[in-house]
Amino acid sequence: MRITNGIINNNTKNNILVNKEYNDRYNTMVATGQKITRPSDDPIVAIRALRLNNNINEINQYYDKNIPDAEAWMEITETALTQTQSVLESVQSNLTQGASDDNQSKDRLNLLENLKALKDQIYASGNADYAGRTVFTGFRTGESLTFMSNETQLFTMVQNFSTEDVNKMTYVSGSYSYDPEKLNEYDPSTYNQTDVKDNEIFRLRLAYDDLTTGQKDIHGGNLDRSLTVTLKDGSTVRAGVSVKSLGNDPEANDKIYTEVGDNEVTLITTTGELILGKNIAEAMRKEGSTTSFEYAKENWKKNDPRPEHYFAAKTYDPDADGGKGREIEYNYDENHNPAFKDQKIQYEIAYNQKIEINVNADEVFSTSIARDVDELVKVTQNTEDAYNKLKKLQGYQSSGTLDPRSQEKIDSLVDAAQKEFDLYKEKMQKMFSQGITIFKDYTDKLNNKLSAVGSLSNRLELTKSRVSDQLNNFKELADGNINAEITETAIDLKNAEMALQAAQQAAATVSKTTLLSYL
Amino acid sequence: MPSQFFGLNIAYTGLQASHAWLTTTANNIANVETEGYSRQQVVQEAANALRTWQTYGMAGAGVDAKAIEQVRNQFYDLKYWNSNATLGSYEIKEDYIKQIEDYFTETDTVPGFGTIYSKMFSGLDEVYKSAGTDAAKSQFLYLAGDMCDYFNAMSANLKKLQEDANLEIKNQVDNINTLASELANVNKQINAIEITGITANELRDKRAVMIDRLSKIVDVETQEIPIYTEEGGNIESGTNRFIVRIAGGQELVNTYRYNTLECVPRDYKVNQSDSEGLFDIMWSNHLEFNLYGRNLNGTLKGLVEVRDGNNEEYFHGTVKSSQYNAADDTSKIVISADYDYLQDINKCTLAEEGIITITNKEFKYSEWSYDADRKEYTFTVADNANDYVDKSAQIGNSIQYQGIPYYQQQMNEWVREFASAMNKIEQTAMDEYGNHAEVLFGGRKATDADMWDFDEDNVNFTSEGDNYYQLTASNYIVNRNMIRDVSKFLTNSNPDQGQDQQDILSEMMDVQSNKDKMTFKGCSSKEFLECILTDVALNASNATTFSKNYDNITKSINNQRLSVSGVDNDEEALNLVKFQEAYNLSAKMISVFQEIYDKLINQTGV
Repeated sequence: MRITNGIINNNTKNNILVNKEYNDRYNTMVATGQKITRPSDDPIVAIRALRLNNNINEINQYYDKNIPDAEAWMEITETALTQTQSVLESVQSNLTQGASDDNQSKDRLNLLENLKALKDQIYASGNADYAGRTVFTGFRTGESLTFMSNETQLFTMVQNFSTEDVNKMTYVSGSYSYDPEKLNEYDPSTYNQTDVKDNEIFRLRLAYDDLTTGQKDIHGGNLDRSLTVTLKDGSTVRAGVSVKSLGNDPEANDKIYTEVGDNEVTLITTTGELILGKNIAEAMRKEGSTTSFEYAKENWKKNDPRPEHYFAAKTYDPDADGGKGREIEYNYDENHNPAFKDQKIQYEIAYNQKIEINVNADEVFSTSIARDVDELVKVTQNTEDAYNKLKKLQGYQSSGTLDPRSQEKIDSLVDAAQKEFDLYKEKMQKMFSQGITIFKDYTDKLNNKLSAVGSLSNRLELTKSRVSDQLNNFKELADGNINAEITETAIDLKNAEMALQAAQQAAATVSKTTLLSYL
Repeated sequence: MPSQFFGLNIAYTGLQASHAWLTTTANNIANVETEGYSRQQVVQEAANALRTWQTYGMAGAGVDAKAIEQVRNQFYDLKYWNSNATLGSYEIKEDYIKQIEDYFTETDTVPGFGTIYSKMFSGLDEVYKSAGTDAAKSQFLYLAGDMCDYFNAMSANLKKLQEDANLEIKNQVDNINTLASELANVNKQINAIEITGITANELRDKRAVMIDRLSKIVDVETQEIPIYTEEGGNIESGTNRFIVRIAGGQELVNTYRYNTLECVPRDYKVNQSDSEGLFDIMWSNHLEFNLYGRNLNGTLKGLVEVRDGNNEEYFHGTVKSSQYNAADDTSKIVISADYDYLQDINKCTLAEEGIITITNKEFKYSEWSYDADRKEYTFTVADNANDYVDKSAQIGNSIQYQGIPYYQQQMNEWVREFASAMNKIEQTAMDEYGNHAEVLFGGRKATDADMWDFDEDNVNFTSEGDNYYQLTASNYIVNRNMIRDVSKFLTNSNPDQGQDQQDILSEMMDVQSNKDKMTFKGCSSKEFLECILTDVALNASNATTFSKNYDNITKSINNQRLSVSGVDNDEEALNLVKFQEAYNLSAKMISVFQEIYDKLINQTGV
């Protein structure tokens, strides 16, 4: 082949250009620290970089946001539960005191004050919130656990019962309301201490007292006035429910409690109790029996737990939809059947790993805690009242100013009052010592939850460190994928520089001399 | 015995030949850096010897400088033109695909799809963790809007790029036209000179340079046919017919005549997301110019592939039936959709109205519909098409390249898949009055402030219906009603279950990676960029590699060409020395003869 100046020039130019290109490439690599500047330089590296970045972004979301959020949420849960734990412990110590049989009147008064104060505290910690979102209310983070003020709004709710919910209670009947002015009307032969009795009654306690007397649903229609007990074998026992309220007449009140037909059930709206007739009670007490009951309540007091967090409930919001009003169904399924279940909030804390971060109110803040305290307060009050009555009568009895007829009447009344006091005292003792067991259950449940939250926190901690490891791994992979090996690249650059210089030098010499130089 | 003065004449021819050589060398040296110049040399031979009728025989009559001719090998020209055309095609593709690559690339500093997409889902995760708060919702909607903007911008960028390619096609066509007229002109000059029997070396070089230039724009072949003095005769007149053919054998220049190409802006679109007014190219004499021929090459091919490349996915099928309606002079033609990509609304790239070609006859269609059960398209076309049953129909052409229409289609497909997956989930959400949620993503309507919300059939669809066909990357938006009123973005299937109920959101989160909820080219939704960028990067790397290769090949062919025709300084220097010497010698001969004559005439016998 004939090599001309043109060819030499072209080739020299080419060589210099190629070397410059290398220079540029390695120079860019050293300057940016990356193997490639655009995907087409090496599509495989580029696509892998994308994939790894994707992973890093995803893990960052877990590591920077989801895990800290879950941690904060659980910390708040833990704090609230610890507070509740100490409230329950205070209740416990009061119970132990109430259960002893040498309580004096001032002890009882003391107990009363303590229990009333503690009751308000129990649910207060259930209103704990994380960034404005209530933590114990399931998906309803916008709502508080309890009513924040006294409110009037009609709710109907469906409460489910099983065999364990039937409780045997002692009802002290035959209390005589003593009125010194009307001592003449009193006849010891018609009322004496034999009329003061303790009755064994089987009942289902509803979650709330002070129900509406009419028991209408939210549209003004009657609620179902029957109770159907489903036995374990699937057979049912049905009973009519009569709705009654307690009044001021002790005798009438006694009848409400004690005169329930064998196949009947009485709903006492004042106290929120279903008094079971004999046969119904028997059916209900059989292992595995269940029933449910729907009832209505309109007047709510501050600190009452809101029903939607515990039951399938319905209410009517008159202001909704621009004043048109709207029925709200809480915890009903799409076929409008009651379907209460715990609402579990899940956070994704690692790839494909979700944890349930919330504790539902019904798991720890049972509505029966308040009811139990209320009843303890009530029985203490009853005992105290009976005691006061007895003291007053005994005062008359020993005043010595009475005529023998009256004295005889007073004696009989003192006997009756003494019996009443004894019965109440016994009932109080019994209830307080039962209460110890019951509250121990509550505390146990709470402690279980606390330790569950604790172990979840641990798991979170573990996941966090694992995710952090993963993050580092991916970062390393991403770096290794795209980052240029500096030493190697620097050497390459140096080589390219030298090659370029050589090419330039060669070019300078090759085209400098021609034949003419020697002619 | 020859004339006494014969020697003087011989010396004179030597002087002449050496002079010719010296001027040729001068010319060569002068043109050493001239583009396309072929070195010239003097063709010389010993002159016819004289019969001297002497015992020593014939007497040499000196030298005859016959012609000055260029040293050039046509074969290398041919090779160069072929390789140059391929180089032109890859170079321009490299140029454009790198721009596309720039648009799609995501770096640490420039956020691309991956960043935007993962931010959006981080936003969704925040909503997921606190569905009740409007702040989280509006942040998510804002981030989703970012993603829509990304696609809008990408689509606009690609459209702009398509317009650039289109304009460049026009420029190249203009270049072809200019070169054609210059070639015809040069042909005329060459023939005018060569008819006198002289080779028009410089003009031939000039013509070759022009064809070199043309060969980069479009593939070219030439043919030179000698013209004889009379029809069927065998005496060459010295003139030639010179024919230049381009784009797979279409005649551009025939000696003094030349054709020009014309760019006619389309008043229709081939692909749904095409720019307005792309050019069709025709010969000025209204003959069809085949822009999509297999043999087309050069920059023009590269540009056409970038502008129209559809990865061979174009609408074509067989006409099953036609029903002519004389009242408005239209026909309804039914065409079977035999290919998967024609049976999926999300992959549909048909323009709303356009031109359908049935065996070379073009019909304007004004609307169409698709029947999924029968897998048939029905077009309403102007004119009577009853004669075309069983003929094959097509819209656009099969172009085996992933050009701009391909990337537009890919984005449209992803956007449609994603919007429909998310909308399907969102629409199961309900507000507290039992109303279903609106769509999360909609399509901006071109004409009014209204929005496509896809409430019509998406299996059987029409060109005018409110279905996902209407959604493209360019009109993809977040439902404006939701942006105006965040509470319209619903996140519960049953709001009475509490604001933080996560069912809807957890399904939406799932769209990211669950291929049952959404697949795009066999990948999950978040892998969109990887899929696209793989195509882009491979195409770009391919174009770079090939343009580099062909650059090398072209250069090496050029060197081969130079090896034959290039001027070499040393060679010329040598020639200079050689012929100066020869000239000097011839001159010396003359002075010798002069001395001889002087002796003979003035001093002999006097």
